[in-house]
Amino acid sequence: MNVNDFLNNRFLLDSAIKIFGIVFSALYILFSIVVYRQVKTMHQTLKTSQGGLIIIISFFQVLLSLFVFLVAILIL
Amino acid sequence: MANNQKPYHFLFHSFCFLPKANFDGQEREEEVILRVRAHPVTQIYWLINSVFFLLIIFLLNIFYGFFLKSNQIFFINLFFLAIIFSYFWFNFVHWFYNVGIVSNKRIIDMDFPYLLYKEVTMTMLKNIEDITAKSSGFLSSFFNYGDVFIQTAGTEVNIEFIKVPKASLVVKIINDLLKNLK
Repeated sequence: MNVNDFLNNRFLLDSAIKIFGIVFSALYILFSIVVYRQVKTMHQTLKTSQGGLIIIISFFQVLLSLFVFLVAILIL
Repeated sequence: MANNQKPYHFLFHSFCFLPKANFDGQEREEEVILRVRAHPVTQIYWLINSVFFLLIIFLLNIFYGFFLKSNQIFFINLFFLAIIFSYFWFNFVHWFYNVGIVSNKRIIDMDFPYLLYKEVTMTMLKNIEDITAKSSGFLSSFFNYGDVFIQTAGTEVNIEFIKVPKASLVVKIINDLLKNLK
């Protein structure tokens, strides 16, 4: 099977995209949670006036990753 | 030293004199005199990368329509935009929290070079033997940033502030603190 056969096989292409979408969005959730935890640790080490906003944006990133995962499962 | 002087900030808070900041392990009588970060111009590379990646995604959309459905195009765009946002955010947070702090009692270097890795180096002012500011190259001369090396006595670890704005002023501030100690 070459690339053209793969692209022309609709079911195979759709399945591959869905699997990759779910796997990579799950990994992205893990990454965003790690970054969020790291930001909280950083904030405990160095407290600044902008620290609260930075934590909120990091939490938004976690929510974004969850949204991407849901899109991968429900829409793809 | 700080009694008669007002706080001021330069360059997106990369150079802050008398900032309103506290750090972990700060003592009751201890006051933060100076907080420095890498000069913002040294962070331009990831800003340019982010814009470049956005352009690539935009261009790839021209080709998606030939073999992907609309829901797949939507997901791929959403995913890559989220990744670019994460790249941008991680680099910003990395720059924001890698700081050098000079207090009225000690000097602290906080580094978070990788995920889940924290490195805090500190030395008391009285242990400082030598302070050097180094600046080389066109960009560092043009934008006035450099490296500050703080050598301590004996076997204690040395501290470095890398690519900070106004490196000479940082040295002057630390020297003034040392004079007040004596």
